[in-house]
Amino acid sequence: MKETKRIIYFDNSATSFPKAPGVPEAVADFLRNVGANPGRSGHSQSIAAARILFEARESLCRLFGIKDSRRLILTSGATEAINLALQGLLPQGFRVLTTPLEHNAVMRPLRYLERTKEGEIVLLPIDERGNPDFATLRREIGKGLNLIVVNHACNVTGQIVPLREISKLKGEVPLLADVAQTAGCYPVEVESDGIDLLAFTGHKSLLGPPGTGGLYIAEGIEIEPLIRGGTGSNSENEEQPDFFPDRFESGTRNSAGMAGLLAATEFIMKETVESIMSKEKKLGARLRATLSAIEGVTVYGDGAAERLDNICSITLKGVDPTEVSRILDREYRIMTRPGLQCAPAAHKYIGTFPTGTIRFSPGYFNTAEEVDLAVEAVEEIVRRFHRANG
Amino acid sequence: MGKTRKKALLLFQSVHEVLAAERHLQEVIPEIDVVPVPKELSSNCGVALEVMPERLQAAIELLQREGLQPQAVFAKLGKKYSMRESD
Repeated sequence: MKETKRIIYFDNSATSFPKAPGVPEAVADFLRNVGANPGRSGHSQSIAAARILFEARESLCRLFGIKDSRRLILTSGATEAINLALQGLLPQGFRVLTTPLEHNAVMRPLRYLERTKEGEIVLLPIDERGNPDFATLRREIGKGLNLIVVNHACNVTGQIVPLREISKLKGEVPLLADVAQTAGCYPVEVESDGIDLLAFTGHKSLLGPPGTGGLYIAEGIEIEPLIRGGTGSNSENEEQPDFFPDRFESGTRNSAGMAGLLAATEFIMKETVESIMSKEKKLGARLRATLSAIEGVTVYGDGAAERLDNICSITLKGVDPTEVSRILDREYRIMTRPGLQCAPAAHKYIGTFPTGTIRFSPGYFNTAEEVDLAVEAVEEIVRRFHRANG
Repeated sequence: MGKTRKKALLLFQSVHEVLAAERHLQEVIPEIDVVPVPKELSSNCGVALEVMPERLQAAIELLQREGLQPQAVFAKLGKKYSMRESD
């Protein structure tokens, strides 16, 4: 029998794989043994399903330092959470301050709202080290803003934007933090980071299933729901409930997914975010250092003061990133993500638009040996193209 | 024989609040249960928290300290439930 090479999965920034231990079992257990619709009936299976959503919410609140779990809305992911925040909060003629490092999950709804609500999007310059231009921040806050939107970690370079420094200056302006890349592998603390709206996904570094995520809405923030419909509560009334979380959770939640996310969150808190970060930092630092040493390879984001090291975007001189990623997959069974990674704004900012980069993103379950194999593979590919072109 | 005794019901606006109330009370108040709301009572969420009548006041006070306010409180007198003013 022909030996099949083991897969090396370095695409954890797109979605993590494998998931945390216990996640597949929790999803299967829900589907096999619980199954009912949470909050839609008083029978014991429905209550059991509602308990899973309750426990998932509570667990996520412990992880993020949120006191009132009613204010954590369970969504299908960060994109829905961001859309809920942006579409629900921004009025006609709004002014928003955001960064050039945003994902399309932020930029596309913002561009849509800019058109439909005649709003204004102001970009806050971020320097190579990740520091925002504080003079611009102060000036724009003084001119009046409805919202500040910040990508906590750029999904192209891994560069961390300091939320705490921004929140210190923001005054009454709400801060929406997109923590899609950081939740689970970098400290995110709603209270001390001064976050008013926290959008997260469950399927990246939280190590949970796809189709899970959430939005935390701080007290005092007024938001309209994205969708309206059945909630299992207030059924005699044809108007949408005005209380949390039901106001924002019309339709049946992804209960099976949330059972998995609960298992994942518990795993992360047991391992601790700090130890996960430390392991990923070591793998990422090894990857970045060894790739940087290869002639013809450019590694992006090295100037950042604070970074998710495991997000490692590179280019090979004169070679299309898609071709490199294809060779890594087909010949070496190494999974990477080529191109723009849904973040054209970030690529324009680092000068890699429109071809993009090859992104390696090792995760908690990868090993140093896998990093070394990936580096060897890149070295071979560089030599091959060098010979072909030379 | 708790199951046969008269019970009081705490109704909340959401299932989340019912389960949050249960979480806060379960270590302190014995014999609490999440139950379907009897059909003669209207409810926003279909389930309520059942407590022993003699622990009702303690339960309400504890929940208020946690920021959880029952929407309505009912006590069973004979075969009928009557609404109780929550302090």
